[in-house]
Amino acid sequence: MIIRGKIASENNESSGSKEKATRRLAFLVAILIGFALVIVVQLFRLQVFGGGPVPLPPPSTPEVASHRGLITDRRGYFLALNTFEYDVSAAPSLIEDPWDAASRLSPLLGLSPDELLSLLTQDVPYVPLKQRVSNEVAEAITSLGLKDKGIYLEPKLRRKYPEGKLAAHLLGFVRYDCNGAYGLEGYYDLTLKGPDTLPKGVVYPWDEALPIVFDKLALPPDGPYLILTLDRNIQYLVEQELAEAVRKYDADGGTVIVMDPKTGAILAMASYPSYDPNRFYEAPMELYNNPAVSEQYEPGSVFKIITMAAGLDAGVITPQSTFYDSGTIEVGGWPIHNPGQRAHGLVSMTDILAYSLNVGVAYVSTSLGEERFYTYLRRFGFGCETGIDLYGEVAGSLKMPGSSKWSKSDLGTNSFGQGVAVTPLQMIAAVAAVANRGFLMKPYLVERILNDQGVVVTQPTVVRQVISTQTAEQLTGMLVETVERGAELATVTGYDIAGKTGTAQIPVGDHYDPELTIASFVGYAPADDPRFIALVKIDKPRVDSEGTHVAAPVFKAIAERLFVLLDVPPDSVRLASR
Amino acid sequence: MASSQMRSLPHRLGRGAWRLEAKATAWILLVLTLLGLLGWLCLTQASQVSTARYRLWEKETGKARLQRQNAELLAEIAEMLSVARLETKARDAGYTFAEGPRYLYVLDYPTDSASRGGLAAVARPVEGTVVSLEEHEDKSLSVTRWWKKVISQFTAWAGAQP
Repeated sequence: MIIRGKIASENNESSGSKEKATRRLAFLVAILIGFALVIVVQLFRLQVFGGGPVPLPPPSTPEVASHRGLITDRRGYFLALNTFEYDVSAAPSLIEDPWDAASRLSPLLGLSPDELLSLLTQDVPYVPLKQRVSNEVAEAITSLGLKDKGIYLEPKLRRKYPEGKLAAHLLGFVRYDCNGAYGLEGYYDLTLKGPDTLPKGVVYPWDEALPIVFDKLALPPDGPYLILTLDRNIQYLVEQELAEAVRKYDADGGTVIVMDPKTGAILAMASYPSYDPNRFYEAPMELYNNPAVSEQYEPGSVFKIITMAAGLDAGVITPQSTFYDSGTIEVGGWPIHNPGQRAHGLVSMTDILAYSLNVGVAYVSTSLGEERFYTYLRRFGFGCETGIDLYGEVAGSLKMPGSSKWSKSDLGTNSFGQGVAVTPLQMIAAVAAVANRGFLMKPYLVERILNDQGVVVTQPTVVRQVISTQTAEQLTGMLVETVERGAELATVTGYDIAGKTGTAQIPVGDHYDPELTIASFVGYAPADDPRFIALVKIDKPRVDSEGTHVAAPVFKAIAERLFVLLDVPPDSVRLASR
Repeated sequence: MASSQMRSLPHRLGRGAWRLEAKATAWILLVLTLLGLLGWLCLTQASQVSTARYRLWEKETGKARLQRQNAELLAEIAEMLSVARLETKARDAGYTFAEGPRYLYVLDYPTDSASRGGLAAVARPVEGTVVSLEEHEDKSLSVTRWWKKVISQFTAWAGAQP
């Protein structure tokens, strides 16, 4: 009885615990089934009934780094765009017939079949074969049927300059690391690169990327376009004439800038010697800098325009004022002579410009006094950067009274452009202020920037009014006469041209080179309503050293063609139509 | 009695356990079936996603290839249009630069901006301005009249030249 009772009680306990376990199991299974049913129903709904529209991704679907923006001239001709080169590599284990592949790739890659075979039979998962092959080679490899069968082509962006050497100094170039260097490519590097974001694939509203990698195959949108003020036809003309002048006069090089004096827009900017930005790596590094903004020189007699402008504006002189030229003047204990040590007797201010008399302008600067003279030079923008949108601009060198380097004699020598260093751009911008009724404009190269948000248009910027409109008009009249009397080789029949020649000595250590000079000319036309201003600077011409004989004819050749290109009729026709 | 009770207890326990196991097995089978269905659905969908992904990749690759070809063509066209090349072509074709062009003074030159714009205004209206069709036609006619006049003036001038 005791045993039976014990067994019965054990049976009761056992059945109770099993029932509990069964209930727990049933509960667990029910939960699992519940979960599974939810998922099955949802999957069934999605798969069979389509599940309704999938929420569309936001408009900014794939966020990828932009391609470098393109550069065009003012007429829309491409000056810089993007093409592709390809890195060729191989996965040796996937190549079925290395002999065949080596023999077919050999002529395309410029490698010997043996060399290629040794690469294709290596016991490595990946081997690079050749970097940066052209698109033609890549297409030939594709046509061989080897692409993606153990031979791979990885596209690499390459900057292309379709005009070759044209405007090379101005454009700069893009290095292999895709960073812009020098010129516009350097200055606008970040702008041209566009938004710098990593590939994310398609992004859904809950900020989760689909597991689809677009990788490097997908081309991102182009970065912003730069539309320049530059006119490639004018640039080409200027480069042709400059190269011809350098050759003709056996010079070391030169620079020509053409600008719209009313806006400061650069129409052309050329320097010689130049290089091909498509093969920048072959050119010496010295050529990378743009001499128009990065190299400074003593301007010589061209600077007399500035001294005369200051004298006229301050009321120290008038165009009719006279001065007795004895051939020498002493400033700060330093004798100043005219070119050729000649004396001209009683001369007018216009004569001083026409004969380019150092003594005459030294008289003007000393009459002004150091404070007023240097204030004017500063106002014309000397000694500081113009602010042009170009990489590598320098400020030039202007010694100011009070500094340890300045001496009283500088007041005399600076008046005719000696002892002061300027960039060609500073010089043309300053003279452009005279052409533009006394208003100094900030030079600029980018007319418009086109991006996703719209168009950013560069507005011409007046830096300041440096001289009065009346002074500018008076000086323009004097400069027209100066060209007619002193620089006949710069004249163009039918047009009034205002300008001035310069023959500058070149400082070498603590003295000036006894033979070599910098010949220059700056002029604008039509004088009463200028459409362009051009500065011609020829470095170290050996056939002739005078600006009158070297730079003035180059200006004339350029001006003649510019009148046609810019559609400027002769003064008689133009004025008659008013 | 006692022996039948002794026999029936394990028997009953055995039957109960079997019933329990059968029940659990049925549940497990159901769960497995559901999991199987779930797995099948998941795999089918994964397969579809993979197929879609591959097709998308193919399309992206094709698009990228076309874009690269487009970039190459653009560069080729730009090279063909380069000013140095055009100059050479023009020279080869016998063209020369205009030396000392002569300008003809044109009477009645349409000086107001609307008529001066002439054909250009018709072809490319200034953004933000609305020009009516009648206005267009009127301008076109005036420009045509003016142009005919210029041509006749030019013909007369050219005929008088030595």
